[in-house]
Amino acid sequence: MSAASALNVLMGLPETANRLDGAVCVQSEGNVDASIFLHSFVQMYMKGGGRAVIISFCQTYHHYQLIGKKMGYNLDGPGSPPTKSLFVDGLTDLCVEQHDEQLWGPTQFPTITNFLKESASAVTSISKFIAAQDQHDGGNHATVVVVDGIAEAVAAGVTAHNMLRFLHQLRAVVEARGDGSALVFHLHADALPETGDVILTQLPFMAKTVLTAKALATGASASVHGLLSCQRRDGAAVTLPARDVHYKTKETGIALFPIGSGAGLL
Amino acid sequence: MSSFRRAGAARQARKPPPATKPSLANGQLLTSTGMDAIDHLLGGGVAVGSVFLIEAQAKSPYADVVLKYFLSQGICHNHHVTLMSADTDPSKFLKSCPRSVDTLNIPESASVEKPEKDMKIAWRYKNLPKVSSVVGTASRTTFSTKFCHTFNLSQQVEEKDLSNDTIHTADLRISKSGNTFADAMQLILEAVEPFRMVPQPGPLVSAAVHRIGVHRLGSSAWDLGATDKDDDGGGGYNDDQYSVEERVQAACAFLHQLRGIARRSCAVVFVTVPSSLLSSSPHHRHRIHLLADAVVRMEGFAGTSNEHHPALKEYHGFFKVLRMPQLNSLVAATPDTADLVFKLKKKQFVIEKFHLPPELSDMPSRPQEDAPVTPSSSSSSSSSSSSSSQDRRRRVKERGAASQQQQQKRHPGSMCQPNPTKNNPYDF
Repeated sequence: MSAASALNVLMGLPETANRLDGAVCVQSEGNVDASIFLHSFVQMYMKGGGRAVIISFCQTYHHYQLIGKKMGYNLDGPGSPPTKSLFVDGLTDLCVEQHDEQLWGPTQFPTITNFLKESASAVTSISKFIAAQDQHDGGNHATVVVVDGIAEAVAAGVTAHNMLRFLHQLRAVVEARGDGSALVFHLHADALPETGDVILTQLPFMAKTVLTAKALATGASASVHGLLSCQRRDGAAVTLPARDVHYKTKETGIALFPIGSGAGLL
Repeated sequence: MSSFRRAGAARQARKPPPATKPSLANGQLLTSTGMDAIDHLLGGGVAVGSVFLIEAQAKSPYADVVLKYFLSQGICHNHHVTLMSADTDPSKFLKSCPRSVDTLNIPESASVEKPEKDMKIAWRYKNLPKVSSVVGTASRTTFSTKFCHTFNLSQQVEEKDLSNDTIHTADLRISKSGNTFADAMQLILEAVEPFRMVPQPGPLVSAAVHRIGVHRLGSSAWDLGATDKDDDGGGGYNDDQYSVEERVQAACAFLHQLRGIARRSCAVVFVTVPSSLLSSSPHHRHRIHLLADAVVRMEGFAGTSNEHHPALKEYHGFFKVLRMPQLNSLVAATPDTADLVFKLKKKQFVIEKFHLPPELSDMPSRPQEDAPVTPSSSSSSSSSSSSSSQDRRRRVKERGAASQQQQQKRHPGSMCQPNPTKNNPYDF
């Protein structure tokens, strides 16, 4: 079973699914970085002919582009314009489509708080992108919107209220389509300040699936990089029992395997 | 005129900056930190466009030494160097940076290792590979000396090297706006303005690397100024005294902007942060670590219980790698070992793998499992250390006789006479 199929099965989806079932919250605990799972979701949509919108507060476009090439998809798309992806650079506080002119300069350097205060403009540009794609391909393709680095943004000064409002708007835009489009967001649970506790309590309710990556209780291992716990909510807000697997990060993807069956374990 | 062009012309335009090399793992552009050992730990060097953070203890100078190596490396390669500090005079700090040994005209014969004499006893050991505790010595080749210079801490960098246009210092001790963080950010933006890059697909390539050193970010000398309350109910800063939470918040915002600037300007940022800023809460530490690409902690032994530990007497502290850079890759480089120690010598700063010293005493390190440990024997053993040798011999004889009698009771026909001292770890 491939890594993508294993992740689908863990989340209660069909093995060959290329759409998510509702919003997904990816959490990192401790020193583990669970942002690697975001790339799997982007891969799922891009390989299935869908589109991806990446909003990152911690990495640049090159990071996602180069990892995408290693994982077998291309954010640049086969030809341009139009491409099948949009990148929103929260790290440098700008909402720039990847082929637009760079506006950054010392006098125009905005703060991240200003960026999120004007979150309506960011959501509008994302809506425009999706509408343009619909015009091009007839609107038959789903879109995944990935938000990476929520904890970084909150640590850098974005208020929890603004961040939650931004995510709610995004989820509304995505789920209104009803074609399997989904919102995926990632945060480091341990790095949130006290004022960001409301995010920790609200976000799991916003998502239908919560993936939590933790370090191994037994310490670091070369063969097993961490424990992935999947918690799903049923339609009636009933929380299903969590399912745990071990994972190992590779250059081209992530390997999931049942607990105790890792190569380095006896 | 022909429309044909040499294929090498385009390649020449994309030539990486001096003293940089692409990573073998992910193609990320790397430059040297000035120390072979740290380069080796980071997977070849520090990534251009990244933020390297060092947790510094209050009274130990070790983080400053690593920062000096980083700055000296930039000075040697004519990189653009900017140093800012609110604690000390950055000009004096820069003048105390170590001088490169490669520019001291040392004869080559001095650096060449002398051939070892032939071994007559245990001559086969000669064929075994040499084991060195020093991290990163394997990469000290002719290329490595170009990529990473060797420095002598006992000699300072020359004045003429510091008079270049590429060297800048920012004294933040007197804040212009009342907010040291804002002043520092403004200075950094002005400094990197010529190096800002237009985002293009492909690897990060620029004409020059900019090295930015930030000394003791967020220490008590960094003024937060008075800010208005946020419209959304965010907390404002107190004019008189700032809490640790406020300092951490300001440092996080600063580091986040710094990371964005580094990514877009072909800069490498070295930041030292006082551990007092991070030790108050694990959340503070997590937040600061999250906003840097690589984090190391230097735990000096001075003033701790390890200061007089016999196994650590050769070293000055532990070197802990807390976060590895993960740029353009899913997998971060993994250090060979997590047990690292450092020592500050007169001429150089050395990072080594930590080995426990060999056990040279005759005493076994732990009692053997089959040792007959009885209350009487343990009490005698505890008293034997303080008694005379005659008493000790007498007790051994008595115990031997007693054990002989027990053995004969268990195995009446046995001719084997067990040695009473053989299995007792407390007798010698």
